[in-house]
Parts: sequence; structure tokens; C-alpha cells
Amino acid sequence: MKIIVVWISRRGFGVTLWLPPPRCLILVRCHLLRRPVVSDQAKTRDQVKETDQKGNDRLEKPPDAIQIRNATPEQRDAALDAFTNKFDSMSDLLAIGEKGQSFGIKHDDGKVETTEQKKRHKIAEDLPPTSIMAVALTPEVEARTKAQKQAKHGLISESATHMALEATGNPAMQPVAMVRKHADALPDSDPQKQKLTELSRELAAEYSPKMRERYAQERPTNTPEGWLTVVQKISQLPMDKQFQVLGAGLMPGIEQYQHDERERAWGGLIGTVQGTGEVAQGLAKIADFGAACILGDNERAGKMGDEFGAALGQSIVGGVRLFEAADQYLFNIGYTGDYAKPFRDVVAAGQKLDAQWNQVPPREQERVKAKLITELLESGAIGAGGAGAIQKASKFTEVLDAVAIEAKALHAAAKPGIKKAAKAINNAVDELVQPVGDTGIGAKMPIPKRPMKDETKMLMSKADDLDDGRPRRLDESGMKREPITDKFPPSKRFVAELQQVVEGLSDGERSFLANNDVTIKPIRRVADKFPEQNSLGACYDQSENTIYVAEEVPQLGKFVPNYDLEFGFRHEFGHVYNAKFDSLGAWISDDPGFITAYRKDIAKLPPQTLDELQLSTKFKSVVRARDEVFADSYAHSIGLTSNNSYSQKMKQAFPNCLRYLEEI
Amino acid sequence: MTAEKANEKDRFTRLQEKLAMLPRCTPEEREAFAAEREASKGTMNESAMMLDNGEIAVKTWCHGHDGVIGDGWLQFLPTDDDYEKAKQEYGLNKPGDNYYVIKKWVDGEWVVQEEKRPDKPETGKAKSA
Ligand SMILES: [Zn+2]
Repeated sequence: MKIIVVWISRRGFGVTLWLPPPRCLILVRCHLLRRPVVSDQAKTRDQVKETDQKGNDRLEKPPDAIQIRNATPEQRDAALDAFTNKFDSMSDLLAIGEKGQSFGIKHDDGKVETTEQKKRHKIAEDLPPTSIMAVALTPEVEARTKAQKQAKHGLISESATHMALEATGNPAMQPVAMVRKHADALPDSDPQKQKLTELSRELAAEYSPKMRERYAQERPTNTPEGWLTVVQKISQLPMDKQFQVLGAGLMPGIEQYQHDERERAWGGLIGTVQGTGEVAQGLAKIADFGAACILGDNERAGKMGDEFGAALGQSIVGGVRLFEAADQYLFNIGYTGDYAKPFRDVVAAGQKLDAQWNQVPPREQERVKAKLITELLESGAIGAGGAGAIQKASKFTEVLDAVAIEAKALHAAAKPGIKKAAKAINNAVDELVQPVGDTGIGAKMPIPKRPMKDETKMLMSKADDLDDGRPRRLDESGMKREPITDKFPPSKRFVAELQQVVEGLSDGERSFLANNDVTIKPIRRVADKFPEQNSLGACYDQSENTIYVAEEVPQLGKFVPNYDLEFGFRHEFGHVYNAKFDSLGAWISDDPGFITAYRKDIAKLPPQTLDELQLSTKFKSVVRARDEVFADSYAHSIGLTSNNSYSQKMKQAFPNCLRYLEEI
Repeated sequence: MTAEKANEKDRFTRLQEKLAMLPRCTPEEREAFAAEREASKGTMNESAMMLDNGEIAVKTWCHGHDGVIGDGWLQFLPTDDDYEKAKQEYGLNKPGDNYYVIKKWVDGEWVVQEEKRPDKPETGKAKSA
């Protein structure tokens, strides 16, 4: 519940804004009149007395009488600023009046009185004014007011100005405008700043139809999607315009004139000025990272790595060829251009990435590229062309610019998987940007944030407490009906055997599993984990996102070594790949193309074959039948030679499905 | 091996590229398919067939009530010690013979819904080969 009380009394007016905890009671007082009208309760008796005296003193000193004229826009601007100032700013304005300058109080009927006239008319007993106007300022006062305005303008956001304007005709907006002004004046580090800013927006939307409409027209740029929308708009601009927008954005956003510059450049060129702060902050972080590289502050650069990577990821998938733009700016405009500094920082950031990339062994480079390509393809940020360009790129910055080109062409920013794409780039950058530390042998080298892992080991879950490696041959009566995977672990020999099979996966396949957090777990028997599915040799548990591969399978009352381990594992990989390829959850076997292939194949099969292959509908649903055909076709498509006759028969029966995965 | 692996890696990447460019099912279809998959939980298929060379190939497929999906394969060659036992187990006497059983998970246990044994009167709707 929010309560706004506007006080109007003979002695002045004020506004009380009450909000439920943890928000606060905000008292706003208007000092146009003889004395402050609120907050007396919060002050000591002496403070009240002192304030009253100050107010009276100001009014006791008669200002020079002047003619009231229509104010110029600039004067109105000054008045607006004064209005939105905090109370002491109002006092300043009144103090200007004390020095003989002119201020008038405008009433609803349009009549304007000077403070002198006001005094004569015992203003304390008058109705409150609706606005104040600065009139006929002398050059000196004008300069002073302008200086004050410029000093304070840096702290006034565009929203605050609009709120203040709205407040001139909408009393309910007066306290809101003041709250916003107060919020803008707070340092960024103050936690109240964000809260009060949001509060002011909320209240403004509630009490001002005009503000509500204004907010509705704003682009949602304070969300990751908005971020990408802005970046995508930037990427569509001609390069010279991108220079302006990126250059302004790359400038550290602390100085107000830079903020204004950015607002102008962005507002004019991309038509979006509201909420672009996060984009600018992101770009500034990229520049800051580069600046740290130029200074040789690798430690700082390393610490900034995460933010740098995140900002870079979003820029790139938004289609901005940041490094290309920086190169072109410095080449075309030179090192003395307005934005030479931030673009030099970007170039430095790129050089840092390329230098780190060069230190990565070629095999690792291929791994990082493959992982990046896989993730970007999945997200829809790139297509085949992009994948090829990434593979051909020798420098890391070329990799990133290749992604940006492709992402721009595909309008990747509008795709649902785009956050994943940005994260993929962040991850790739993360592998290169590491704090530098002493190796202990006198050389400083990047310290990996996490040791480069053997992906096979990473994929394979730990099989602790292995036994002596001899597979046990127990009859079926020895099976327990509760999970006993820890009690009866697989043999070391089997773990090694499975590890070899996993190592046989291609880099892309391993990356796929790693990116999808799929774990591979060797177990003695499936029944150890899933007592009800005891006859299986391998399975995929979606709830644990784990492929279990059993060392032993039951056969006619005894347990024997798992048959055709490699093919079985690839088949399970096929199930996982089918289910997890699409980040939105569409299975490949449900693709229109695969369904067509499946129907073509199945139309040629006699019922007995369908029964032999367990594919007629009495065995399983059609979607599950397609999934099974997909998994088997996947294992065949990679060229595995298997003695598994059942699967050989599947291969012969589904040539079109196999072709769906083979013709690449 | 290295060259093979490199080719394989390229193959997977190419597959990713190809599939990424192909149309997916619609969101409505996606939901319908997911529902169909969900409904098929608690099903187990086991089948065995005798091939022309006398080999018996066995396949087990299960979509557990808990959502686990898995497979099992067995192979019995005429030279194996267990070959005769396998023939009896599945009722297979000659190439082309086919055995299967379909089970459903009902009240905490697998219940046979349909079984076809070439050497015995079948249950359910299946007919002898
Ligand atoms: Zn399967």
C-alpha cells in the first residue's frame, strides 16, 4: 500500500509519501513559503527554531523589485532544475533572490508576484504557489545558475527531468520527482540508489499516465534480451556509425559528459537511449580489461576475466565485430580520434587473447574451437558457414569476429538459445584469461582457473574402491534387490576398458557430453543400480543425466561380460544425443526429415521384421520406436563395425534413417 | 588412428552443422511427442531370433517406470556351450524363428502382456512364424 498526502496549509505545502516497510516514510517539504511545513517532528526544538529563523531572515531581506516577464526556455530549464533540487538547492535559489535577483511565484490564475510583493501580501497566509519561475536573470546569476545546473546535471537522469516536467502539472508527481532526484544524486555504491530509482519508476508509472506511456515505449534493454537487442542494433549500423556508438559506449561511464555523449550518440543512431547503461557498462568493461593489459597489470586483467568474457560474449553474439571495428577505427581515423583510447584498449584486449591463444597447444585449440562450434551450433548462433570460418581462423579474435559475422547474418540475437551462445564465448575466453602467477621456477605463467582436465576422466564418474579387478561370476540368486553399486563396484579392468571406449569418442562428441553435463558411470550390473531393469547392458538415466554401462549382463541364469561394449555405448550416446541436441527439447528423431525417413523405411518392412526388431506398436510407441532406430543408426553412422546381428538387421532395415545421419 | 579420429571429429561437427540447419518439429508436436514418450514408461521388450547361420541374437529394450531407458544385447553362436540352452529358452528351432515377450510395469512388478514362442502355443495376439 502506498499513501501520498499532499499538505496544503496557510503556511506552505508539503508531501508525505508513506510506503510499507522496508520502504520508508518520505517527507518532502517545499520551502517556497515562510517555513518548512514538515519534518518538524523529526527535528529538535532548536533546529526547528533555527530553520524558521532562516526562512524568515530570507524573507525579511527585501529583494530588488523587477518586472515579471515571460521566461525563456533556458530560464524555465533553470527553474525546473531548481524545482527538482533538494531542499537546500531551493534555499540556494532563494538565496540568489536575497542578493537582489528576481524570482517570482506564479499562481494558478497566471498572476506572478515577486518575493517582495509576496512579503507585502503576507505570503504565509496565501495559498501555495503551483510553480516558480526564474525571470530576468542577470548575466552573473545566469552564469551561476548555469554552473549549478551543469554541476548538478551530471546527477540528473533523463527520467528525473521527465518526472520533474510532469510534476509541474501533476502534484502527485512532485514527491516522485524528488525521490528520483535524490536517487540520482546518490553514489553508485549506495544500495538505496537502485531501490529508490525503481521506486520512483514504479510510482511514476502509477501516478502519471504520461510516464506510464513513456515506460511502455521503452525497450527492455535492462534484461539480457534487451542487451542483445541493443547490440544487434549496433551491429546493423554502417561501420562509421558503429565507431560513434561503440566509441561512446567503450568510454568509461564514470564521467558525466561521457554519459551524455553516449546518450546522444546512441539515441541518435540506434534510437534507444533508455536502459542502454548495461550495454555501455559491458563495453566499458572490455575497454577496462584492455587498459589493464596495456598497463601490464595481468593480475587485474585476470580478475576482470569473468566480466570481460561475459560482456564480450554478448557483444559478439549480438553481431558486433568489436576487434574488426577497433582495427578499422585506428586505421581509418587514427590514434588521435575521439575514441582512440577505448579502441586502443579493445585492440590490447584482442592482442592479449591472441597471445594467450598462441600459447595453447594446437590440439587444445582444436578442442576449444570444437566445443565452441558445438555450443554455437546448438544455440543457433551460427550455421555451417560460421562453423567453417571458425575452424579456419588462426587467431582467437578472428574466431570471435567470425562468430559475430555469422550471428549478425542469422539474426542470432533473436534466437532463444542466444544466452547459451554468449556463455559459450564466455567459456572459451575463460580458458584463455587467467590470473598470472609465479610458477616457482622464476617464470610467470597463466595459472589455469581449473587444471586442464582429461575429458575422459571428467566424463567418467569416479569408480572408487575398486576391487581386485576380477569380475565375479555369481548366479542370479546372488542379486540384491537394492542399489549396491558402492558395495559391488566394477573391476578396474572394466573401468579401463570403458575408459578406452570413451576415449574413442571424437572431440566433438566428448564436448557434447561435457557441455550437457552427461556423466558416464561404469557399474558392475545394471541391477545394482536399477533392480527392475536387470537384463540391460547399458542405460541412460535422464533424471541423473548419466549413462550407466554394466560390466556384466545376465545370460541364462548367470552373468557374463557385457557383449559388444563399444557398440552398446555408442547406441546409448545416440539416445542422449537425440534427446539433448536441441536446447528447446525437440528430439532429432522427431524432426520432420527423420520422420519422413522412418516412414519410408518402415513402409517396406513386413510385419514379422517389425516384430523381430520390436518396432511394431505393440512393442513400443512410435516416438520410442523412432528413438530406438535413431540410437542404433547413430552408432552405425560413425562406421562402427559390430558383430551385433540384431543391430546389423536394423541397419539394413532403415537405410533412409541412416542416411539422415550419414549424408553430411 | 589419429587420422581416423580427426575424420571422425570432422564428421560429428558436420553432423551438428547439418542438423542445426534442418527444421525441428513444432512446439505443439514437441509437446505431443513428449507426452507420448512419457506414456510409454514401464515397458519392456525382449526378443530373440535365429539367423540364417543359426546364430541367436537377443535384444532387450526397456523404458522403465522411472524413466530410465536402456538396452541389452546377447549373442549365441552354434559353437557356444549355451547354444542349446538358448534355443530352449526362446523356443527357437530353425532360422527365421522369432521369440518375443512384451511386459508392462504393473503395481511394482513386470507383468507379461504378450509372449510369442515358436515352439509353444502363443499368448496374446501374436502368431507363430
Ligand atoms: Zn536403445
